[in-house]
Amino acid sequence: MSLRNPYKPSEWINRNKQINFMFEGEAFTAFEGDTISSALWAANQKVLGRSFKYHRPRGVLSLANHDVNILMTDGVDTNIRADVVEVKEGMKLYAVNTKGGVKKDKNRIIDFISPFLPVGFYYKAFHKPRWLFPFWENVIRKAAGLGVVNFNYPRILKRKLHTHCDLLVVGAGPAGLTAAYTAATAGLQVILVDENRCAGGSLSYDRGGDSITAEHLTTLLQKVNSLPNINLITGAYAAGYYPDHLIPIVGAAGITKVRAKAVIVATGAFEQPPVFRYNDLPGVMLGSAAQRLIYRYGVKPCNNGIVFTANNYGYRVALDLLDAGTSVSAIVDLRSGAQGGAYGDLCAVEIAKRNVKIYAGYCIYEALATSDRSRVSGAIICAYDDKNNVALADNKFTLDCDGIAMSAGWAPAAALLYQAGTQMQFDYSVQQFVPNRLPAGVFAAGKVNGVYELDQRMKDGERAANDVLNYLGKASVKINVQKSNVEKHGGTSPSHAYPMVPHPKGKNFVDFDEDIQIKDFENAAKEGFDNIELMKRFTTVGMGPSQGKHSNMSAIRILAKIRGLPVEKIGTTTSRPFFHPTPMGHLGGRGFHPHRLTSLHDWHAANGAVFTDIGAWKRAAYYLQSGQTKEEAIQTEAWAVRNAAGIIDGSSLGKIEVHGSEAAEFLERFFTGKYAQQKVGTWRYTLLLDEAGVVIDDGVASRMSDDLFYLSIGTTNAAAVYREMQRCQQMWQLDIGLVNVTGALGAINLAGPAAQKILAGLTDCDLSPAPFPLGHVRETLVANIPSKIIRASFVSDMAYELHSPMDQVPHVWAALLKAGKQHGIRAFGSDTQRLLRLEMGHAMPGVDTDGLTNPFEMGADWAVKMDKPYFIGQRSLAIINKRPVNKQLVAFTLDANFKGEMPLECNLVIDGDNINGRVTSIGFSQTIGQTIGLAYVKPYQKAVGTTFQIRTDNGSLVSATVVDTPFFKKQKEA
Amino acid sequence: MQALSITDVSELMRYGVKGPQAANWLAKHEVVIPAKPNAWVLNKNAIVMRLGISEFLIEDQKGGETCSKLAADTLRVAGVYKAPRVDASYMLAGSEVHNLLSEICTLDLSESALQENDVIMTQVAGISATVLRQNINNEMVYRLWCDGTYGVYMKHILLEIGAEIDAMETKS
Amino acid sequence: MKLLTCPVNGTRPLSEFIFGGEYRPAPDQNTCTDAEWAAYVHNRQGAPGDKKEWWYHSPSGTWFIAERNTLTDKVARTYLLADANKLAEDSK
Repeated sequence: MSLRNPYKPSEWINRNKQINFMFEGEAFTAFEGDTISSALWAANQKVLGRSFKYHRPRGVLSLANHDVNILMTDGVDTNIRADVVEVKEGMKLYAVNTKGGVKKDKNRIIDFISPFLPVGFYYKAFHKPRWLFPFWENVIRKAAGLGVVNFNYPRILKRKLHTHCDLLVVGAGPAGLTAAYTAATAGLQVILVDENRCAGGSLSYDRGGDSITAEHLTTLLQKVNSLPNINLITGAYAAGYYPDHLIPIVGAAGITKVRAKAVIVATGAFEQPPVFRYNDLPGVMLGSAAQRLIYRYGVKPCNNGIVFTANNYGYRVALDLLDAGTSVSAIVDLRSGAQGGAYGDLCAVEIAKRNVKIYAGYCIYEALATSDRSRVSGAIICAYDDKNNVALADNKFTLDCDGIAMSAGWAPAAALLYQAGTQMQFDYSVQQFVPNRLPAGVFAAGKVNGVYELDQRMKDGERAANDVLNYLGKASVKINVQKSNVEKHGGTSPSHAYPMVPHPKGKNFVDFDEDIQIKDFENAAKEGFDNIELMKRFTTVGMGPSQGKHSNMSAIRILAKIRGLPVEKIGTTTSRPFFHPTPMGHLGGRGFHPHRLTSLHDWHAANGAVFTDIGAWKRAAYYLQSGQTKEEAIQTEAWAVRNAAGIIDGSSLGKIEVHGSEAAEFLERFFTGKYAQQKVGTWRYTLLLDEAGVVIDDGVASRMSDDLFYLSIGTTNAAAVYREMQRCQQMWQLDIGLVNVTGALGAINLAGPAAQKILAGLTDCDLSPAPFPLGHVRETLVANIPSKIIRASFVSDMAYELHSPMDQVPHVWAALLKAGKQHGIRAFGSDTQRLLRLEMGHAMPGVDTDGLTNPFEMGADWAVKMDKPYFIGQRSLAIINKRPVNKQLVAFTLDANFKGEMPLECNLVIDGDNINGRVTSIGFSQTIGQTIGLAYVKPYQKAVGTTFQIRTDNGSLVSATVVDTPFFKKQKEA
Repeated sequence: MQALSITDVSELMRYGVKGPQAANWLAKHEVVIPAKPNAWVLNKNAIVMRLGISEFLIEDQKGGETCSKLAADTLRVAGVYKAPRVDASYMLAGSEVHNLLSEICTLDLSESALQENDVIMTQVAGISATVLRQNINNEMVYRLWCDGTYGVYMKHILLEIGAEIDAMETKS
Repeated sequence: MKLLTCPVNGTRPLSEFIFGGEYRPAPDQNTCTDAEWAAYVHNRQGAPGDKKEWWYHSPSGTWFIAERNTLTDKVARTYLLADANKLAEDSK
């Protein structure tokens, strides 16, 4: 039997387009625009899912994106929210978290043993013995899980966009629509966002039996659509609030980060279920859910309903039910004072005319289920003492029904306000937390602001818009719309202070996500978890997928009652993004992974280079020839450098020019060495410390002229060192200029016994050692390209570093390869370079030092000129100098015949029970014929010839012997 | 108008100079410079950008007069520091250009926010870049520069997003 | 994401900036005691309140000072150190 009603102009479905889909193996039809839940409900399918813990059957609760017991999978996606996701042609849907289908879920047995599973049961029962926990964890996770992760999920790049506006209005209900229209009329660029498929909020479903709200909606939408400076986005939710009004809006296609100058939060309120026994049966739903079914989807919630209310709203719902052709056998009103439609509510008067029986001061004591427990079949009703919160069950009676609509009150959808840092206070006139102090630029309007009457909500939207105009200084005249213009809520509260019906047998659910009952809170409090944050974690209330949207307020009320405190003393739990669960694919989006390439990158790639990431750069680590291992490739390249010649692309080196009359002075302050007397055409070592005297970086300073130094800096630290130079210049204000030429210039290091011969054919510069010894720099043409030649000895004593314009480097490289061919020249990579520099005995900052190493420990005493007036770290070194050195970097070799487990970098140097230091660099050198390395040891171990012990990963001790550097002694030229 | 066009113009000629005397030095070479920081002007056919207070980047046609003239002056002068430029340079245009920009840049680059002669140094696709808006033959064109060593990366990202936008365009 | 205003380049998201630590003028290293120097290098005042901080606008390479309240995370003003020093100099 179909529950579909005849056409109504308000509805969101397109009756001309029928959709076919499958649910749990059965065929169903729907109309375009139906959600999965509305389509199934229309077909009288009421068990839509199973609860998370007890596997109880569940149906429609809110139809507002927190029906989290109704999660589906279509085989690809999981945890599809059936209450809001539109059904599509050909969908094959199954409820998640069932064993054998939603109707006969085998895990429903858990519901029957639930008395033995109190809150905290899992925490207590399964942690001993510890070795059994993995077993229990597996069982529990399978029974209590949600959807199954699809590991074959296609990778779809979701876009992350940025957009800007004057005003972002969140929520397109009466307050939001009015606010957006008012602000846009004054000229603001407005984005209005609503998570529903269509704008309107409660105007699209809350009728109370007449057409006023529908007329308001038509008028407001016409106004909003008439203004080009309102961008109305529906079907997307504001997912969180981040500082300075950055709000990500999550839609199906991706995330748009909105940066607004001001924000109006008009997010409304969540209807809250009253708590009574079996309030979770399919057919028991929120009043607003019933209205949504009726007006958005043309579906009758039931044929014969009961309204259980604790406010005036329930009477509106009753009228809407009657309009939908549902008979209402009773209105059960928790409030004793509501006799005969008290409180002057017009709907109540109307209800009385329709001969609906009103039980004021009564409660639903218990909902009754059909024999298969699949849906509600009636309700046990009795009088209720709302002063003492007692159900007077002596005179109970039963009414038949196939549906119960619940209206007991609201909780503000204030997540964004909380995240923005709003201070909330409890307003007893509406029994709700409302904003007390809002952060600058953030405004609230409508139900979330504690305003409930429709005309007042629209007025509040206008008031908020005017507040925004004042805030942005855009109001032509200072508009003096005070909050007081919006009437303070009068009459009966829209929310009941304590809509809970106790029942000795429980199953009166507070949190549907996690199947938490009133007694669970009482037990938690007894165990001592009587603070809201502790109670949340112990009971897991609000920790399910709806994040407490329908349960947190009840939890606060229950705790307040248990502790005998007013609600505002209990406080609320912290609200964090995201407002709704957001797919990981959206969060991941397109990743930006910037990387820098040298002008030789293509050559490297074509010649078998294996790349490694160094800083932002892709560098060739080594070149793999066919059939070679990495180790063989490195040894082959190193052999070429020691016996013929090698070239490496060093273009990623940091390169900085220091110009100006005080350039030498700048260097003297910045580095530990002396540069004032440095001769033009030479280079000197640079060592940079921080203020604590810790080694940061080293490099080379070439003096190109009196007022120009050219600095080479290690690849990894280049950006940070340049940044630090800029900062020092801000403080020192010397007559200098810094030019970062890292990307503009490339560098090639040519090394090996044949280096001089190879280079000689490409330049007119006299390369013979007498005029051009180590430590010197020349500017000349190399292969007709203007270049600097730096005779540095990082990897070899016979080496030339060639610095040329980046785009010309491939030309120089090719010329070197051609000229070096007859000498056996070979390209080598950065891994090989590390071995070669180790053979030379060079310690590298960051590799052979850590965040505490001072230059004395590193053995760089010679580079530190304490007799200068100032350098960074000098004062700290003066203090350090007064104390004995605590550790010392030494060079070591392993026995030539060593065959055991190879020590690794970071393995510890052990003496008896003491850790004396660690290995910082280690590698096998074919040239030396031994494993060589650098390690920190205690000063008593530093003398050449001392042996010390290294503990390998498997725990064995390996003897190492301290030796002199360089490992690789000076070579005769070939 | 095309939906989106992405043109690599890294081949154009560029000249960089900075320092406290750079503005005077350019003036001496009769190059018109922007009066305020982070702005640009046209000097003949060359774009003269003032990056911050005392740095200038000039982009010219290949063999263009402005850059050639400056490059010919190799004399070092106190307070004038030549900053050799190897930039990757792009022109972005079309009706969907803001769609592209909104994914790679967090800033508001719409016409109302980015003034006609503004130069913006910001992050684009995660790296430092310089952006301005230029009117070429009545078409609004966004210009984008980044360090040349990031050029391959930047081009890859632009084309990847461009292809997606193109696909969306075709579908709709 | 928070916004920060570079005195040269204007207001930008925090992702364009690098934090450079608190701005604290060093004691005179020639006259201070070892203890004073060690305190300057190693000790930080962690109590929340108004702090002067170094910030670096990465795309333009601009260092500047931001006066920020570390409790409220509100930035009162930002300026170039050189400008502030010059101002202090002029007012002497």
